[in-house]
Amino acid sequence: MNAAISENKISEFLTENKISEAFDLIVNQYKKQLYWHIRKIVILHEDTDDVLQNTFIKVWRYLENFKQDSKIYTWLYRIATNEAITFINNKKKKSEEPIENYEYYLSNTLESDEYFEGNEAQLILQKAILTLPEKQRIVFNMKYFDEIKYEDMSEILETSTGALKASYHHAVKKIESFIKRH
Amino acid sequence: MKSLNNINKENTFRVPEKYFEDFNKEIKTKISEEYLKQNIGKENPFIVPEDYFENFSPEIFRNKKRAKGKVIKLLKPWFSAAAGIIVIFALWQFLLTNTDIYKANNKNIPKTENSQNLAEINNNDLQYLEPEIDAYINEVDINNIYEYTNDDSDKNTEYTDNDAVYEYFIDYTDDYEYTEIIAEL
Repeated sequence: MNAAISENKISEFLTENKISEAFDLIVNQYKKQLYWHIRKIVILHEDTDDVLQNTFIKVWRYLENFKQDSKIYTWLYRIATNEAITFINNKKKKSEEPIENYEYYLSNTLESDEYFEGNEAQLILQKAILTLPEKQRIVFNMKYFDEIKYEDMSEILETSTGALKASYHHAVKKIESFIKRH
Repeated sequence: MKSLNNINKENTFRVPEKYFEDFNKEIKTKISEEYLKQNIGKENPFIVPEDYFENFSPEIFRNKKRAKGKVIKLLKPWFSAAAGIIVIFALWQFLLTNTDIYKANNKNIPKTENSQNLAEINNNDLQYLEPEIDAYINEVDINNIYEYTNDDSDKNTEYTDNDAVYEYFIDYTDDYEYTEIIAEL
């Protein structure tokens, strides 16, 4: 089922108060998209799995109250993004290492991660992304890899499109510069 | 029919605000983006364990309770504090009672330098009892908490201990730490 049809079907279920049916469709339709979105933020598979499950727990709990003022898709992405950021922040708090070293730790983990199979160039790109501030990192991933429209991104991240464009511009320039140096 | 000469030549097209101011930046962004696409590409380098998505089904969330809000609202932090005070008071009474019995039964036992009369335990000493008190609180069936509420609407709803605790933490903290702890329960 394509995304537009799914979105309509989910909306129909919600209107008819068929929450379980709507939820089943949401999980089946969006689990992969949300997984990859979260994975690019938290990097490790096990962490992604935790965040994805927490995301759907939240969706399940609040779906009945979802007013359909925004698209389902942007609502889901917003929950997933918030869950991922909260997860990372808590990891940083618990870590014995200084907070600023967490991304560096992730960056080093990539090389030995059994669930990362990028070539050398892709590894450098991921390392470059991990040097960015959190918000720029998320914006870059959403725009570069997922090609999400600025308008949707604006709804998901609750940031103006102008600020998002500026974030993406800085991110791309920094990454290009990092890659040229490595 | 009007001739072209009679029509104002003014440009009637408009561009978005700050379009030309942002144009240079947009072009530079595109150039850098192209550089990345050509040199690295956009392929996803991450993978997942075999059958991960196939096994990730909506069924795993079925036992989770949906948000109704009522129980959650009643499980406020004051309840924990009140429960703590009740338990401490009960323990205090227990200690006093037993100390009296002890005194009555042991009137003739001389007090040694190292012995301490239990009745002399002051409030500060209670801090050492905290682990025991915590253990006791942990043993309290969370479902009994609902009996302290005035709300009848949720009495017929089945809750597991984990769900109730999860609800509580999710709604009263934004701290992922707690959700993680509960996930382990």
